Amino acid sequence: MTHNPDNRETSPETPADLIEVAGGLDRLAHAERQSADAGLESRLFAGSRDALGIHAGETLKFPRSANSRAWRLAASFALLVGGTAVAFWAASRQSPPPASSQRLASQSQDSPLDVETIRDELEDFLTAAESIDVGEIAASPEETGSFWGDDVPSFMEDSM
Amino acid sequence: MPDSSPSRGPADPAALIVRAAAGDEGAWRDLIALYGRRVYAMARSRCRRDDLAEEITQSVFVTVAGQLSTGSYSERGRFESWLFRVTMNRVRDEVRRRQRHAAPTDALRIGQSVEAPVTMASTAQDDLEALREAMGTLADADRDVVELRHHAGLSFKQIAETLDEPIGTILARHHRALRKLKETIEQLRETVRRLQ
Repeated sequence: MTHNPDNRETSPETPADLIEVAGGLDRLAHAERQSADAGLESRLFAGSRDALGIHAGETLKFPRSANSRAWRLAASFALLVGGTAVAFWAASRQSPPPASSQRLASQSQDSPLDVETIRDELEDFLTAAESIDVGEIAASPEETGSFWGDDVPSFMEDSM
Repeated sequence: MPDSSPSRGPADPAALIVRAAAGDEGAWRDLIALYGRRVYAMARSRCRRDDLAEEITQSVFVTVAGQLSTGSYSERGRFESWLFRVTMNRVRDEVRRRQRHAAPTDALRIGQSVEAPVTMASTAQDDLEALREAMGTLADADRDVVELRHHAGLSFKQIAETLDEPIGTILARHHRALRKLKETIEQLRETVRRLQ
């Protein structure tokens, strides 16, 4: 399968007058192969092993950078905030309302007892109002001669 | 869990490919030992830079490993043709990319076909360096055949498979390339003799 360069100078494909050139090319090729820095094969193996290892089921490794780390932090923070908000929302829908809310709700509702009490208080107020002599209160100074009428306060009598 | 230790004994490429495709890291290590420097030599010949050649070689093996692991390649005795076709494509892409962005003074370093400078020939002590420079005078199609034959170590049949050309065409190109290289080197030597 592989060609043996060592036998090339006697290869039947090479004309006799060109054997020297062919031999020179073989030596040049050998020099090119040896011109690589030491450890070429190890570097080639190390550099291509991952490409071959993917098929073998090895874990994919992505290089980490400062940029990707910042993205990971931002994504984690966003998930944390979002998760907290959803948790609060869900909890507020399931728990009973606080006591203050209950009081407000009860005050806003009309109970029969409250209506009765208000009615009683209103009747008492109207009864008391009817008992007041509104005529005296409504009398003008022209009718009475004085704003105070006959009941002039004592401290006003000195100035009159 | 696949065995991660290198396999022992003579390496059978077909068996290694099957095992590597199953995730056997030892088999993959052996495949790299078999072909790593040949791929590297192909890339080094064209781009003429050690670091770039290794980068291209690494890229080729990552591609091949990915294809093997996903089952995109099925072993039918043409692994080498496929491997070096991947290599050639990657080298061409890289050379084109570098040519677009390179300064004009970088021409020699990115594999452009340029005439070998006379100053190099007049001072060259190394025939290999002269041959390396002469490679730059070849047409790309001929240079592909030369590099697949000598740097990658493929047979003419494998080169024909790699380039999807008849084997007769490959033999003719190889012959023409060797002839061209011989003429170029003789011209360089003649130039050196005249200068001396």
